[in-house]
Amino acid sequence: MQELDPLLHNQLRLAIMALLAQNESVTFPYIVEKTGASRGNVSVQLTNLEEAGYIKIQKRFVGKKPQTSASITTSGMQAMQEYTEALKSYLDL
Amino acid sequence: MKDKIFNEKEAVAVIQQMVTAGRHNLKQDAVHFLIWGWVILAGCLVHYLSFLLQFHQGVYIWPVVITIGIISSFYTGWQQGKYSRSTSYVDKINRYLWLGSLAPFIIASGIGLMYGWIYAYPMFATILGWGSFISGGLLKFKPLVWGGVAAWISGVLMLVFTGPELLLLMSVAILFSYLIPGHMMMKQA
Repeated sequence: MQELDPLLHNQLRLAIMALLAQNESVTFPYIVEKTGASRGNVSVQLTNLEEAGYIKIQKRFVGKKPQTSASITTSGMQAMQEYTEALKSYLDL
Repeated sequence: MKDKIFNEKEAVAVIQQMVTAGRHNLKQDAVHFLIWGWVILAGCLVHYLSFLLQFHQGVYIWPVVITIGIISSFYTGWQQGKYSRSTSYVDKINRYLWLGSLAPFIIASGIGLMYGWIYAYPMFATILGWGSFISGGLLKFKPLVWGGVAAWISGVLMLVFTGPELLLLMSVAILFSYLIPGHMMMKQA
């Protein structure tokens, strides 16, 4: 049985990765709204995922307002695929 | 959602929940179908009426409506991009699909100008149908897929006609491939 990636086997980090896997990029407020988690918690988990090389964080200005957005990297996508494969084997799917 | 370790079943539930939460919003796409749908329909009907009234300058409606369509569509797209909080892969493919349709439209217009518009209309209907059909497949919105097929059928019928009826067939094509699906998408969003 494949081992579940401990970094992804966490409710909030997995939710963030599932959102990013469907989109080319998503903004920080979008992640906060869709996951229902606190801004601080989302921020910490984004940093963890970025340090693991699973996501890329971009900062830019839209007009005068700063905007933070995140996108999944190739290794992040690979990790998600391996995670879902491992999940299937655990659940006998 | 909490920062916690959970079991495998909960993991599947989280993925499903996020897939549902991140579902594509049809309203953004609907606006573009409605802009172009109304603009082209207006062009067809004004041009057709000009034939009935034997007013020979009716063709000049086209540069006017196309300019209105381009400005409105680009402005709406720019505004949507500015305030958009997520860009899905479907958005990206759709954007390239429609931007990529501009070149065939320009080429078909060139053929119309050089060899006669009767050759261009079936091509316009084909391009409209092609865009709607693919967009419908990407957005999983069946009325767009069927609208695309209706535009192609209009395109085939256009091969039989050479007069102002082409404009009526074009109106039917735009009605089924843009306007009806556009309004349905707006309602569903």
